[in-house]
Amino acid sequence: MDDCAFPSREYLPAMKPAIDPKLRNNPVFQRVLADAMAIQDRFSAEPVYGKTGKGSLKSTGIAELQRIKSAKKSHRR
Amino acid sequence: MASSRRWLADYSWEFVTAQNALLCQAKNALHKPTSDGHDVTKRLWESRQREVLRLDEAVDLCRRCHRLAPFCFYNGNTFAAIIRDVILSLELPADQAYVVRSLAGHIVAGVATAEEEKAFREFCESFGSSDS
Repeated sequence: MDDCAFPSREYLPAMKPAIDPKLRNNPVFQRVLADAMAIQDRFSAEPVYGKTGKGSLKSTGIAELQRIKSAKKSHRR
Repeated sequence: MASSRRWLADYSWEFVTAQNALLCQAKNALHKPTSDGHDVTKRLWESRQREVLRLDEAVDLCRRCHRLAPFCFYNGNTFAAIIRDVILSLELPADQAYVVRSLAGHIVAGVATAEEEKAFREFCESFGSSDS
């Protein structure tokens, strides 16, 4: 995995995949991408999980869950 | 658990790669395969992605692929977003969906506590028993 930091060690070319427009316009693809973008800042960009055996994820707290629960309560009333 | 399905059938390796490419592009990060992780992860994903799996097996496949790090950057949210999408398909009540997506995401991210893993296993068992 160090080849990301030291590309001269074993050079692998950067990927420039031509994304099939059919795939790009697929609703599942778009839904997953939107979620992945929304949570992107919570993840470490570098692959730490394989190196350390422990992943990295910033907490969002419980605000979203509280919002869902209060919406549910007010819907019941 | 009766909840065995082709959970990951919609997410081909091409899908995974394109997701990572766009996530890297969004952060101006290099989208590049790793020399020791890419091919082994691709083989693992392609050998199991269309299989009928238990939900916990699908989560574990995403976790393993994250850990193998097929790409230089943003492996975590690439695979966590896929499993979070799988959980969406269960059409759970909003508060339960939030918790289950969070548990599955934590497992794939490699940050789940023993309690969270236990809670997810219990969910899988209860979901399986009501899913026949």
